Amino acid sequence: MKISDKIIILLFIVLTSCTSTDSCRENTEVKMQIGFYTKTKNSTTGVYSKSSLNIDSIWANGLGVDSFYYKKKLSTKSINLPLKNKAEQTDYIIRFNNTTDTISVFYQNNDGYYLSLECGCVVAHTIDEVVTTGHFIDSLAIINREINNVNAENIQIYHF
Amino acid sequence: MQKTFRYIIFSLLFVLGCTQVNGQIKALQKDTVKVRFFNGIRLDVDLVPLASSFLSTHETYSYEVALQSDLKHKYFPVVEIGYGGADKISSSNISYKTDAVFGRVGLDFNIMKEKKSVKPTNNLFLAGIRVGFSSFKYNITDVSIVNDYWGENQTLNYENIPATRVWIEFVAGMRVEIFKNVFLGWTVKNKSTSSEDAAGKFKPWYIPGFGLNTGNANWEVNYCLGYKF
Repeated sequence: MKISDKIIILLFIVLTSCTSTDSCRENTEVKMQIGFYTKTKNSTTGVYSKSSLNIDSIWANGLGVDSFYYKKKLSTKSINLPLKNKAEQTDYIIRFNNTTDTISVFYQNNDGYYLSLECGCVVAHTIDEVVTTGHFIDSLAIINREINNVNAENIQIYHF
Repeated sequence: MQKTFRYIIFSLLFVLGCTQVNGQIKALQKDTVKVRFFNGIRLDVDLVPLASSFLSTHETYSYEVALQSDLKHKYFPVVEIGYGGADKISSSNISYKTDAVFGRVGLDFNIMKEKKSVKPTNNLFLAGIRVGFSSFKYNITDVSIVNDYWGENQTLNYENIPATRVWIEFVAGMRVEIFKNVFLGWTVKNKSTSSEDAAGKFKPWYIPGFGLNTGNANWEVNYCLGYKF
């Protein structure tokens, strides 16, 4: 019975070391990440290259909301904006230093993007189209249409 | 803490089981008998739910019986049928509910060495494998989604989500004949499932017959009372 004694001791250690974890440890925020870029022309080769653009101060305000989401955020290369969960269009007014643009995002919602029983669900979005005014923004690229709880850049805004 | 208490009590029960084995082996050292091909069928009832219904928080429950036949006192094909479920409210007040019948089939080997001078005992030291199966539906309800900036609140309910899971178990255990044809023993199971859950898709928190679906292997202990027909 020596083998079974060993198994019992081993089991006792294994089973008593089990603990249940019951709290949410995942990111539950779903935000559209926008990065700012500029293109610079190399004077000798004539080739354009992309580089991050640091905005000195930025304001962002959802259209129809009284409060600013970003209020004079200083020296920033990207912003993260929450979209409406119950609509398929969200508009933000974004002020870059002294120039203001409006950005409209059209998307589809996935209500039941399940994380876990502890964290629940989030509403994920799939971007269809992004439209902006062209005061500060020169061009725009959608690089990742899926907006969920994974922190990833969705849109690149270019200012030359 | 309650879980830990449960395991301590079961471990104590194992030790009791072992002392029984020692007594039995000494008692059965008589003459030798030829081993037949078919040596009957044993019905095992899992006693763990009876004990755990006093000890656990009633979040999950599982009841099972097993039919195991004895071939040559060496091979032990087994069919297990059970009923399990969960009724859980998570820390974020989300409810999970399921209940279903599950089944397993498998084969055990008696790994107890028999000395020729000793009469073969009816006691068993078993090791084997099982394939488990459960097809069930589950509810995930009272899922609250808050969007502070846009002032949106939603409470969503997802009901009757269908799922089918297959898993593999490696088992070891022992059975001791405490009276004629009445057996007591335990089985330890290591269960693992290969199915991966895709990001963003619903996944069952509890799988009847398998246990908590954490993505890791599960350990389970059965303490069985058996009768051999």
